[in-house]
Amino acid sequence: MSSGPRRLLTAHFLRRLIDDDLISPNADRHESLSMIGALLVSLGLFVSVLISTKYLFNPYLTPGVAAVSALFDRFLFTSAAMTATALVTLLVWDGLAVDARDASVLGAMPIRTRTIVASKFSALVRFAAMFAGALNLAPSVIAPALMVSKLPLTFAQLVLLILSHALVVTLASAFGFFAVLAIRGVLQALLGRTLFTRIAPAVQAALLVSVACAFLLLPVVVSRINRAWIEPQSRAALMAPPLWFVGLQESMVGHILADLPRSTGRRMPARIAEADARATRLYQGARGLFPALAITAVFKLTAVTLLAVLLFAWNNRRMVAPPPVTATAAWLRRGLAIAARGVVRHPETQASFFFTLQALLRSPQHRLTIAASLAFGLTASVFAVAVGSATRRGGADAFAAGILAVQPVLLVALLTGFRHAVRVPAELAANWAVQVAWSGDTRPHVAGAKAAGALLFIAAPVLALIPFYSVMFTPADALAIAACGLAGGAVILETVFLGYRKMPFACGYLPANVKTIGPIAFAAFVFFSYQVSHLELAALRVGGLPTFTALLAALFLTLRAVDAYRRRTPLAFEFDEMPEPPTQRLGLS
Amino acid sequence: MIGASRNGGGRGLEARGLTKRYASVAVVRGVDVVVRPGEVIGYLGPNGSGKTTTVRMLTGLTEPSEGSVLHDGRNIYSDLVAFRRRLGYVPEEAHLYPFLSGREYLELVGRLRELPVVLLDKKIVSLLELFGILSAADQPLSGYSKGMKQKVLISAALLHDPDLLILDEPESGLDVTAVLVLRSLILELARRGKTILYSSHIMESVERVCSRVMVLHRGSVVADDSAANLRTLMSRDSLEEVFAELVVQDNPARTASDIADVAAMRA
Repeated sequence: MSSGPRRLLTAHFLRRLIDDDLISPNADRHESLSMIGALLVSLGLFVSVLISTKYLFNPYLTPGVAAVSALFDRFLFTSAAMTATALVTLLVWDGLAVDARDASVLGAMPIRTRTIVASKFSALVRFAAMFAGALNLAPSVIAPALMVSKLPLTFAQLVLLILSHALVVTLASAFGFFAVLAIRGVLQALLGRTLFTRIAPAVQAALLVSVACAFLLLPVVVSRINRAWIEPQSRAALMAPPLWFVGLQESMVGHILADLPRSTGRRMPARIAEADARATRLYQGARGLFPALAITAVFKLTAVTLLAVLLFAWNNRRMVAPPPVTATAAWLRRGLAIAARGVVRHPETQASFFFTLQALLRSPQHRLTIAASLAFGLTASVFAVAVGSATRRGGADAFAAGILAVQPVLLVALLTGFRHAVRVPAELAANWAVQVAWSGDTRPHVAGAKAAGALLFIAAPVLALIPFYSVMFTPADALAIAACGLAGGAVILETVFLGYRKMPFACGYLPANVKTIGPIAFAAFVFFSYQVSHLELAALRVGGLPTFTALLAALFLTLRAVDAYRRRTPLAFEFDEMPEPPTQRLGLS
Repeated sequence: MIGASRNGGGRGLEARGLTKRYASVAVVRGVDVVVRPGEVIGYLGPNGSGKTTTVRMLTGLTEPSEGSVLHDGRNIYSDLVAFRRRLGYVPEEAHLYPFLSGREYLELVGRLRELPVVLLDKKIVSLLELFGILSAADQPLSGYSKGMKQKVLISAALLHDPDLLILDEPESGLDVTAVLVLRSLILELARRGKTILYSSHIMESVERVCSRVMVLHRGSVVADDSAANLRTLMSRDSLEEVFAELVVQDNPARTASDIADVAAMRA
């Protein structure tokens, strides 16, 4: 077979990965790609410059100190490259195999299955390479250059540092990509196509939450591990995959910084010389680790790549349509329906309630939104606890406030994600059915969506946190905190829906002005969580948590009344509101 | 109002001077459509003639650039919701929510139309059973064949017992048995006083079920009469020949031969 079909198929698969799986099929591809590319490059630039300040503004940067600092920064760069690539690979999870569309369209073509599979794999590798390139390009050049700008390096040494940085972060990205591919492959090979098809969405969501948390927690994790890993007594951190690649880079070029001559022509203050000697000792002590880490990096990357390639070939050896997804057990469906009908009585509210649950749990796009919110909420919770435990002045109270902040932080993150999810159509082309059938009043629909949101994003997390609070406080306190969480969650839900005027899941999506709203929302998020946790703690200490809960309940009722007043007459809106063309948004027309 | 129509007292659907322009290009020009209760109007036209655009204007999904649509004498845009309560619509493309099952989709539509739960459950089971897809009722729609999706769409259009039915190529993807059932169903619904607009490419179906036929070509109505009258007027044996005479400008046999020649081209 000539390379023509393979090239064409690779281009086709690559385009579909970008168009359908990464970017919404209804979005402007050029605009979205430009934005993603610009975001990645500017993020890399920003982080590189931020990290470099400690080198640039250090009047007495010595080789020893620079070598140890560079070691720590390389850990951050390899971790970021690995987790970010894994994250974007998880986003295109459904496109990581030859799927039903490929089978139905290409199955009838006179093309060998192995050509199709090879093209798909090639497209996936190119996709990951494009992403890794955009992510790592700026830091590979900027970070090493700024890092050594005050040290007496030759041009050749600088080039070597830049090339080694580029190589290592690319390999770290490759590890993140192939690890996700291998996990998917192992699960599919072990479970079989039918079972894998059933659990794949849950696996994707779980991995996405885990990797997103790891990515968001990088600054905390990196600073913790950095303090420990090169000390001889705590080598458990060496299990962290990014460190293998740090070892690889140090094995290649670590000596360049560490072995630089100490005399720079001017007298070094004693304090600085001492710091340099200490740092040099620390670096020399860890030097023996690097070859082993480098070997581990090469060995494990090779193993994961081979595993991913072999399993990809094995799992896609036959192009067959995936088996039909089996139906929800009839008894479960009926039970849920009867229970829900008892709570949600209006038929249209019931329609919206069930549709919200179905869309959130089954639509890939909505599942991703919720997984991202959960990841953000969990990360912010960890930050809240970490900040609480690190605040020395506040003592036990600060720690308790940090623990109490977990609930509001999680609720705000989940309910904000939910508020975003209802704006995204469940299936744009199918919206006509809702347009034709609805009664002209959005109120029952918004009420149904809110009821489903309350069940999934208030009741479920609050109940899940009861054991945690029982351990941290007492079971009685945990119940009081849960009641407070329910009331607080209801307040948040009403607040985020106050301005919502459309039909949940059934209107065209217009992107919000994140540049303006984002910082305000984030500031409000931090302020609200901080204040609520401290108020809650104060109430808990004086036994006034029921009163605080009652106040929140009163606030909820007030918001509800305000909302009912604002919606006293059905509001007009457009189902298919179109976004402004990019030229208009940019003020070019 | 609904009672009036169900007793045959309604005035049915009337559209006058319907025109739709996209960026100054008129895709439908001055189309008049009148369908009385108990009537089935066949709406024919080649691809790109403006059939679906007209149908979308008649359902209120697309607003006309000019002209009006009246149902029982009232402009549908004065109360679109009230109009849609009495409308059953089967679109040309079977766009459904892929993550819902057939049963869940019908439950969604039925609840949106505020049907009582017990009645809705009964109707869903009966319709799915009669259409022969009850065994797949709880499978996701993404796994349905085109015909099965079409049956779900037809069921959804009938759930609330509408006065007005607008069917845009409803036989698309259906097997022979289902097409026969559909034809009989349309005749039965017309006998019960429903107003029905039936857009199709299948001449045989149109000839069998429609009391009157409208032919659209390049956005304008080029014929509007009963199938029998059209045959007599144009001295043709079948509606297919009438249609060919009205809208087919090239010689189909010549075109077919040209296509075969192109397919047989060698380097």
